[in-house]
Amino acid sequence: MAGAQADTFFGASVTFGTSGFSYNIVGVNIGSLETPALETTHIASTAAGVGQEGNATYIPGDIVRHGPMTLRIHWNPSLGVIPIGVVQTITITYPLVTGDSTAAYHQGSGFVSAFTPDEFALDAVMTAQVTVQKTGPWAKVAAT
Amino acid sequence: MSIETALWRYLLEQPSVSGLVADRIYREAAPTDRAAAFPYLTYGQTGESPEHHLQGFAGLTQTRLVVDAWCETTQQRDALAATLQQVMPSWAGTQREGVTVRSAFVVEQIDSFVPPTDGSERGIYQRSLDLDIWYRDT
Repeated sequence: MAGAQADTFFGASVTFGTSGFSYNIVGVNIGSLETPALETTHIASTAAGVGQEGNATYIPGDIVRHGPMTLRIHWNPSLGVIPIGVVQTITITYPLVTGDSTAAYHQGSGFVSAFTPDEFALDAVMTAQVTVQKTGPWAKVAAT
Repeated sequence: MSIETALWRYLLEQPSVSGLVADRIYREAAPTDRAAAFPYLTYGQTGESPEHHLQGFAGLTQTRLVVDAWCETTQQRDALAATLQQVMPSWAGTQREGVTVRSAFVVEQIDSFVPPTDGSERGIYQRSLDLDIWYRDT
C-alpha cells in the first residue's frame, strides 16, 4: 500500500487553480463531512430489551455536507489580494512519502468565503485565517 | 552565531554603552586569563525558535538573548541597566552579520548580588536583561 500509516503535514501544498495563492501556509483544516441523522422512532418502536441501551432509531440523510476548509497563513500585506468569491479548482497535495512516485491529494471546486486576520500583536508573527467553501464533491486520490 | 555577534557589535557601537564599559563586552563570560575590570557586560543566546510554513523555513526567527551587567556598585549597575533599557528597543535594521533585526524588547530585568569569595565585603552587583528578538536572515 502506498503512503505511510502516520505522517506529518510538512511539505504539503495548497494551490488555487485560477487566482494563484502566494501566501505561506502554516496549517490546513481540510474540513468535515457531515450527513444528518434522521430519526425514525415511532409510537410502535420497541422498547430496549434486557441488556440493551436506548431504543431511538435513525437513518442517515442523503445529503453529505462539506464543513468549511480553513488555511492558516503568514499574513504579508505586500502580497496579492485574497481571492474572495472566485470559484476555482483547489488542490491539497500531501507530502510525498519515501517510496511513492506520486503524492496523495484532495481536489475539487471551491471559493474563499472569508478572510479573517488574527490580532496583530506586538511580539508575534502576523497570521490570518482563510476560509474556503467547497462547492461540490471533492476527489480524494491516493498516493501511488 | 551571527545574531550574537550582531548584538556584540551593536552594543560596542553605542556611545552610551561604551562610555560605561569601553570594549568590555564578552560572550558568555569574562575572560579568565586576566581579571576583567568593572563594569563589564556579558551576553549569550538562551533559545531560538525559527518560524516555519508548510514548505520550509519562513526566514524569520524569534530568539532569546541575555545581557548581564556586572558592576562593583549599585550606582554602576543602575546606570548601565538604564542605558541598556534605552538602547535595546532601537536595535533594528540590517546588520553587517547578515541578519535584519525586526524588533528587540527587554522583557525582564533581574537583579542579583554575588557575594565576595575573598573574605572582603565587596561583592558584585549584577543586572540580567532578558531580550526577546525577532530577526530575519538576509
